[in-house]
Amino acid sequence: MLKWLFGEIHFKFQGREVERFLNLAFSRQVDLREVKYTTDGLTFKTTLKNFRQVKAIGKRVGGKTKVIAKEGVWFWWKKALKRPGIIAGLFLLLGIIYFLTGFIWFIEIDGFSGRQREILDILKTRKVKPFVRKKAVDEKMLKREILAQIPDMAWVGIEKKGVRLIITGKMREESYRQKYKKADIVAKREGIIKEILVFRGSLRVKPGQKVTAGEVLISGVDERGEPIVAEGTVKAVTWYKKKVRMPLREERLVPTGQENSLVKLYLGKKEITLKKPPKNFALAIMVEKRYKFSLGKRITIPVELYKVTSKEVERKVRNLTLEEGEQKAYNLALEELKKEVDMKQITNMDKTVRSLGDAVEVVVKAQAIEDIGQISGIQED
Amino acid sequence: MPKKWTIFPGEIFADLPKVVFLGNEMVIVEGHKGIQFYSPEEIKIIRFNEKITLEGKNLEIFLITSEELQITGQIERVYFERG
Repeated sequence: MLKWLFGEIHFKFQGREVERFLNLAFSRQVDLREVKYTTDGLTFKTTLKNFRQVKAIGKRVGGKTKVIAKEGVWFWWKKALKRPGIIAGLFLLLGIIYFLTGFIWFIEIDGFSGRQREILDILKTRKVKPFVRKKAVDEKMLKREILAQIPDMAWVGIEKKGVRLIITGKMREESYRQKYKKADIVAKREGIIKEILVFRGSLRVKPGQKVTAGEVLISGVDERGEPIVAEGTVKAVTWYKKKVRMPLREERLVPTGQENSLVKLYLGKKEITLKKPPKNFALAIMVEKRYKFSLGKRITIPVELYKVTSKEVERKVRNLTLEEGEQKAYNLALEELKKEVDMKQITNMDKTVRSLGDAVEVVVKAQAIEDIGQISGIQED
Repeated sequence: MPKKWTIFPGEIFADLPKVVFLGNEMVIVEGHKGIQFYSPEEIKIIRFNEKITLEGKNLEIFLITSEELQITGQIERVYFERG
């Protein structure tokens, strides 16, 4: 590949001392490829950097070296430089391709459960159509517009991929609006309101306001006081605190490698012990297996083989270093945190470590921005 | 690209030649010291105090560097001469 990029020369060597020529070449670190024997000498290929060396070696052994062909991008480029029209054409072509890729050529709409027509109408009002400039399409604005105009949307994704604008989305399975008569949106946890988007209902809070869990954010009442199902998103700054105490003495059950088994055969109600364990372990993990026999799917033979395998284990105590304990506690705290909040929504995280002698305590405090609204106060039809 | 040959102890201590055959169509000789004779029917390779002679048809030197020699063609006989 590199040879092709930097250029390769196809040579012809005319002379009697071909062996001397080859030996001199390799001793001077001149690599030769595809060396072929001809009636009056050799033909071979080498890289451009070896050009002078090959000429010198040829002269030294009393022969002649002739260039048969030049291959590779380097030579093509040198040739092209002599014809500026080709270069100009190439740049013009690149320019045209670059210019044309600045436009949306195709719009693909996927999902939306048969409501693509509405999406197309929204796109039309926002002047988004094929051959529009890519820069003129604001994905965020378009997404908001679709969500605002079609409240039953579960999610919308808009992506510019090459010359395509791909709009994907999914409708909600069954909206609360269709199912219930009235519902409020309440805060599921304490936070400070940052962003509000109301589709339906009366807003009860404002940005910057501190709310507590259970507080009504969007009330399920319209302007005339009629009950409705509230809809919207209320994003707020929320806080999480996880405290994990990790003892620095870790006790584990480690298999010793010793195992024994008990095998019993049941013939109807009769029990026959086939194998007894030589001794019982003080501490063991038991694995129980039952094998039933049958003839086909319907006929069951009243014979059962029962096997219990005991694997001996022993308690081993390991003392953790402070760093190991801290890392374990931190990982546990993160696991706990992940159960409550999506890690992508966390904007800030802080860790404090305290040594307690035989244990280590890690406190993880996190700040997140998330939708704290949840449907509540449902009144069914 | 680094070579992935397996190195045997004999190769290190006894300085034995590394000659790898790929069927009878290619042979790779490592650590050569030059070519004594070259024709499409015969190639004599020098390697310290020994000579490796390859006989066959349409023998070509596919690559010659200071480290190795790759020969292609229809290889029919190989001789190792000491001294």
